[in-house]
Amino acid sequence: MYSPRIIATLVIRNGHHVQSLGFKHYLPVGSPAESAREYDRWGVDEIVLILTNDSGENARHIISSVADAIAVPLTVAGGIRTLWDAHNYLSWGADKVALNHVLVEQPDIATAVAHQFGSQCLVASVDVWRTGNKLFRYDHWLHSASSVELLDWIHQKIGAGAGEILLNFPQHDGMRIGMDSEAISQVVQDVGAPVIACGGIGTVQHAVDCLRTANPSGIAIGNVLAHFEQSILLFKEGIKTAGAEIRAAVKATYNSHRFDPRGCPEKLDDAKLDELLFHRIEPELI
Amino acid sequence: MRLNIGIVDYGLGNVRSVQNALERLDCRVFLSRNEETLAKADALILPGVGAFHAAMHEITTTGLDAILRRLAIDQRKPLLGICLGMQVLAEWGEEHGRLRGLGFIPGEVKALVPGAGRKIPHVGWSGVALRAAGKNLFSRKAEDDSYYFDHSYVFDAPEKYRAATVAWDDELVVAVAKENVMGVQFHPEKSQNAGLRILKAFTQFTKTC
Repeated sequence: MYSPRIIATLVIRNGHHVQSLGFKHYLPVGSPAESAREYDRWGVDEIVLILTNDSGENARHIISSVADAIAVPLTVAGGIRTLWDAHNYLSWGADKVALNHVLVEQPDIATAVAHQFGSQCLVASVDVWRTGNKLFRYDHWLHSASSVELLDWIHQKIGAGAGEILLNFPQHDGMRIGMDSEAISQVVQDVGAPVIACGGIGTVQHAVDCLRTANPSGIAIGNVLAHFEQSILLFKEGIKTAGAEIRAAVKATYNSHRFDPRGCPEKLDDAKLDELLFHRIEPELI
Repeated sequence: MRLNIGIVDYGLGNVRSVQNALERLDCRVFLSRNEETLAKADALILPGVGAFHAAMHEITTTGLDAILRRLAIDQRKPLLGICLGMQVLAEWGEEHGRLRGLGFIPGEVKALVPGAGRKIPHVGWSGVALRAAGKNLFSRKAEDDSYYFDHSYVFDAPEKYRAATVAWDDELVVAVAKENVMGVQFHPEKSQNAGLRILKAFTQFTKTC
């Protein structure tokens, strides 16, 4: 069996990597390719690009520059209206395309993409809205719940050929309040395709809680990864320390470190730092 | 010696990242479906994602099946199939009926069977168990590495040609090898340094040929 994926989400607006808050407000981070390159070096398992308003030549530049900077799978969401758009994204370097609103407007597109390029490169991205105990598909235009029940919608999309489900939670997005593990767990237990969960992670503990209780195939983390150096490594270290299975992608570890409440490593004591001066660090062989 | 690697171009698959990875290993890389051009390569890579029948349709209508047979079987040029490119090396594929593959390595491509805790497609990172046939692709240390997978079908090859496996319900064959022809189910070009080590091993093998 395989380890759950720790996925970095990069929200892109006007060609910049931004942080997203509640799908409404955006804060700039920097160049998409540079962010992606760092995440790759820090051992991320996959990268998801979400294009919020770039299209055409800009989209081509963003996707191809990110694809050339990394050696992990790349999923691209946003701006896909036609089979041709999906073809373009894949030829510019995406490994998978994620479809969201277009699945509502043109239900046939899922089947067309799956038939042309295979289910393994089609991700159905679904925004989840919770009303009390009930889960609905979120409607982007209404900015609230639609009348469509979540599981019905997901089963429909898997039937149409989606190979993976990406769950987003606008009520949690950018809030750092933890994930809706109960909802994620419902979906994971109910569907046969891999489920990726996204939205609400503010600390390592949030990720651990979700992996423990909901057992998704992966969790996607956005804003908080841009807050400190080596964030992926630190997340993985934290998750491993908590006892969950994770892929160790790089040899560096933080297992002798203590962490502050934000999840950043605390400074080592001076004696330890002196000792490290004489440590030989072997380069990784390829 | 700088190697020339030819990526077999039949319109399926994300060849850009394969090319990037090989260039990082200091190879000269080109894309072609022309026999004279491919013949100049020191080794060939057969990429591919998507459906078996679509891939075999492209390969047979462009005449690549005969070209690959001459280059890889008759002239014994090293050939590495990646993902779907590995599956089409099989004799048979089971997808929308039974279809002939290239037949370079005995075996048959079958659909993965869903079951408790087993999500289909098989997507994600996984370590592998090594077999003797994999000695040209994997170092002994490769058991510590993980690779990225994304597939719904699997190459069921006879014991002798199994190069690496993954524990699943029974055992998934995730790498095959028969003399100079090899294939991996995972994506080395998408598996960070662990993947680069596989491609590097393939180039080292090429240098010994």
